[in-house]
Amino acid sequence: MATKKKQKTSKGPMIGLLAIGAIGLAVLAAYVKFGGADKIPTEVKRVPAIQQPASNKTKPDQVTLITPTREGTDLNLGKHQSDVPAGENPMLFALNHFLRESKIVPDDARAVGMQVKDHVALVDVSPSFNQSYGSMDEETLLKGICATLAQFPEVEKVQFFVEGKVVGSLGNVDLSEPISVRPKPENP
Amino acid sequence: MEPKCVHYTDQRMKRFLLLLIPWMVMASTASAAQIRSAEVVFTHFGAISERAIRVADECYVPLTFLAKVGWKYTVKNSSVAIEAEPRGARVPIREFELGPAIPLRMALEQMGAETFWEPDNDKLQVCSPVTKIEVSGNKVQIETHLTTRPRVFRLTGPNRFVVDIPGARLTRDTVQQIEGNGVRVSQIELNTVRVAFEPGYRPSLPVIPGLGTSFKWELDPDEDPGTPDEPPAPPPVKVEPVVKVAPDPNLGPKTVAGPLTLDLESSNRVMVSLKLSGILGKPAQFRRPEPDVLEIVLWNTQVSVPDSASFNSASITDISVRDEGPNAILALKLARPMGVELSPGLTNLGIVLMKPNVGDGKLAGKVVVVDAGHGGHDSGAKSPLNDAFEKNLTLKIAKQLSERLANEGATVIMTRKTDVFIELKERAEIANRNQANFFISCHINSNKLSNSTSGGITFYHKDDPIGQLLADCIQREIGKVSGLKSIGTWSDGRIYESGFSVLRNSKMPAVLVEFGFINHNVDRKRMMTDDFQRDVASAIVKGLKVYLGDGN
Repeated sequence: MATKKKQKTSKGPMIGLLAIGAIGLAVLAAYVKFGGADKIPTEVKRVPAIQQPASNKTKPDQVTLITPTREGTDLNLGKHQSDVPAGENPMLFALNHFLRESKIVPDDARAVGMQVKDHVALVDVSPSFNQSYGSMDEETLLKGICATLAQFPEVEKVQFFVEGKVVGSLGNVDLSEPISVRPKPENP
Repeated sequence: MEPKCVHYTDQRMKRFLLLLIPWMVMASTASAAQIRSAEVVFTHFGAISERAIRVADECYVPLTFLAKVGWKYTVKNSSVAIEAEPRGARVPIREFELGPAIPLRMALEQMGAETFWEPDNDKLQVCSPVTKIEVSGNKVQIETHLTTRPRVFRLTGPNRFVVDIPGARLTRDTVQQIEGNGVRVSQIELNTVRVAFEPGYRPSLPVIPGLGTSFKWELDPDEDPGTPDEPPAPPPVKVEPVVKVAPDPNLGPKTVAGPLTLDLESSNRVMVSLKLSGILGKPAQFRRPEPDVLEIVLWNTQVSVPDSASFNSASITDISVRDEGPNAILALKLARPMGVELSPGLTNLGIVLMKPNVGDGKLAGKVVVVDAGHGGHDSGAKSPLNDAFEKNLTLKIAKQLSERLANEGATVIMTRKTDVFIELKERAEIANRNQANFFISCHINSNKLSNSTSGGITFYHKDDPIGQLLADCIQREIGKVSGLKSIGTWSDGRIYESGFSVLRNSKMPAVLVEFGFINHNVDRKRMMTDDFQRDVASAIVKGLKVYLGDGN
């Protein structure tokens, strides 16, 4: 009897452990199937370290907003994090913030639509955006727009359109072809 | 039959050798006259202390040299079999005053190395071809044909990491597979290849990779802000008096620089190098206080240079050094205005002077394209009250400039004479089609905050030393007469990486002048006067003549 009783008690913990393990596996499978794991875009998973500086990492529902200032001839691009309002496209939200803060483009000039195709951000802008500026304002606009879009790993280049037509330039820089949002620094 | 044949052959051979003797004597006498002492700089080893001699284009080194560079060898009769990586060589032995010697270039050619004599001296550079540079994602791989010893270190301006491979050359066969925009590969010296990484990334350890032919790193985020960049040098208007200050202990030991040596002087370029005891704490910069005076600013450095009289160059007429705070200023007086490129190395600073092609040195007869910016529906920058437009001001100045150039005998082509729109690419194409000698584009600047920035800037296309020289000559003259501040000359790469369309696409020396800011009240009022428009037009003509050496 004593032996039988001992055998009965030794099976209990084993069954319990197996049950816990099975529940754990089921929870993990459910997370992979229905949880957030499969919602990470492929592009983000594949981004090599060189394209995504640690300092630029934001929460998924946050973006970095750029505000330009000048000290003499030096351009500074101030950055801060902001939540993206519900239902807003994060890229458009960040880009229009920059355009508004630049105080260069007319008040009604804004990005009205955007799609990313083959890593090129194709930005539809309102007609009032399409004009040319002095080289210092052109520098502010191009560097600010590039810095804004460079936070999105899937964007490598940008091109602007007004009512389906390419914006050729904002002054002196040729924009008829997409330009890189991560331009090389001036010095090698 | 056979012995007879041998005897006959011996006799013919003897007769042949007798005939050769006078020729051999003459040849050896002639070659003895051409034998010169030489120096060998061998890949990562640097200068080898063993004696070497130069005979025509060959370099002979004693057998002891082979051990110095880690080669094993076997002497067989009158030749030497060399065992080396990646492949060996077999070369003949010749007797010289320095003993049995081998032709080094012949051996290295068999091994696949690159060798060349430095211009105007007897220093043989032995370099390893770089066979492959691959950057994929965050992985970096560099392969060299011979053994090298790369150096990894941080540079400032901007703060970034670089890998230098001394004793290496990029060749036509170098495979460069580089993804992304952040990595640059360049031959910074005749014998040094540099791979510069995007700011914000650093190669993983070990940063001292040691010897080898294949090197791999991963790029990690670099959180260290490094030493702050040196602010750009202010536009040099006049030479400041010498101010001597006590050495600042916070700056560390001074770099010792000198001597200055002339490496090459040809019809279109001069190359000099300044020897350095170490890497400069900040990159050397240059400025041009006068069109024909070059000042090189060397951070925290003590310089000794040769006496001007002993420096045998027709292009550099005077050399002087002075201190400016902790920095040394190396001043070179040039025979005429020249383009400048600095190429920093590990142990020297290369200074390349480029002589512009000025033809007969006269403005008369030259073809100048004058470009009035914007036009038609493209108004360009506007004043805050929309009462002044860039397109109108640029056309007025362009017409004044054209008139004055024509008066000097130049052939002038205007990209537009009326209020019409011309595409950016077409403007440069007009100059290219007409094989113009110069392209001058007239513009007016703007800054978002009214009255915040004032003054004129002349732009040149990035990495174009001749365009920079022309911009310096023109902006200097404009600054004298415009009545507005001279901000200086800027590379168009400062506005965006690709530069300005009209400057990038023009195939001749080209500049873009921003005369002042349309949304600055003082600038705008001044720019709208006839006096200003006439004066700056005359200044541009004067700048062109200074560049050409016309009227000196």
